[in-house]
Amino acid sequence: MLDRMNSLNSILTELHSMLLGLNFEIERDFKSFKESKEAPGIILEITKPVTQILILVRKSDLYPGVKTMFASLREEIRYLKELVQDRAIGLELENDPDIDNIMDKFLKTSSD
Amino acid sequence: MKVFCTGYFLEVISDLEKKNNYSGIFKDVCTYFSDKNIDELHITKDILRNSPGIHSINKYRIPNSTIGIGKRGSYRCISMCNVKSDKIFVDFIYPKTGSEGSENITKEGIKSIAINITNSIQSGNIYEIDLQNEQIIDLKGNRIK
Repeated sequence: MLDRMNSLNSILTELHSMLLGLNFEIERDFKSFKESKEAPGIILEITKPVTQILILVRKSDLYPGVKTMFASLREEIRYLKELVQDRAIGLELENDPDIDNIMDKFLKTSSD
Repeated sequence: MKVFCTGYFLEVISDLEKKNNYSGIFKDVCTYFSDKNIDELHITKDILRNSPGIHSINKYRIPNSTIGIGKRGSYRCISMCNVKSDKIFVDFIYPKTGSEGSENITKEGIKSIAINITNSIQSGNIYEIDLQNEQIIDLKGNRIK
């Protein structure tokens, strides 16, 4: 059991390193990430299997031995998904006429 | 740079402060803003909507010093910047993790925050955050926190 736990921990650690690297690259050039049409789809394709892995690990008898790395990996996945969601919200707001009116009103009232 | 908050922000932080994991929330907010200027806060990557050099809506990730987690699990604070008048307005803050941890905010949520900030300024229901002394002061100069 200990061997299986160590193996699983190594896999989760590698996945975590990969996602950390991905997040680092996104943050390093966030403008390109925002402008890229392909990036969000690719990121979601990456997060899907990792999420499946997390679900399986959570149900596994090995979970107690890997829960620290499990939690780190889950945080990283959530953060990636949040970046993709924020990008989508940003684009929606760019094309939302309501928000233009709100921002104009904000500018006037907050400039006094 | 001056940082203001709405009445709603006061309610939110008062509620969160009662929980052990978030007891340092107001101090964390003050610490986050105290070493930054408006240009930095306006052009941060956490922009949800902006007109460069004029105004923006931002989501800042403010570390939670109480439980010592990094920015992944930090507070999310939705704010608006008016660059020319050198003012930041905060309305909503929520933790990403812990007992009160929330999912990501939606587009409609962002819009209602922007409306609430604008209406609060218009109606005078706005308070200044004194970052250095970690206090909140109303428009008459009375300390309310």
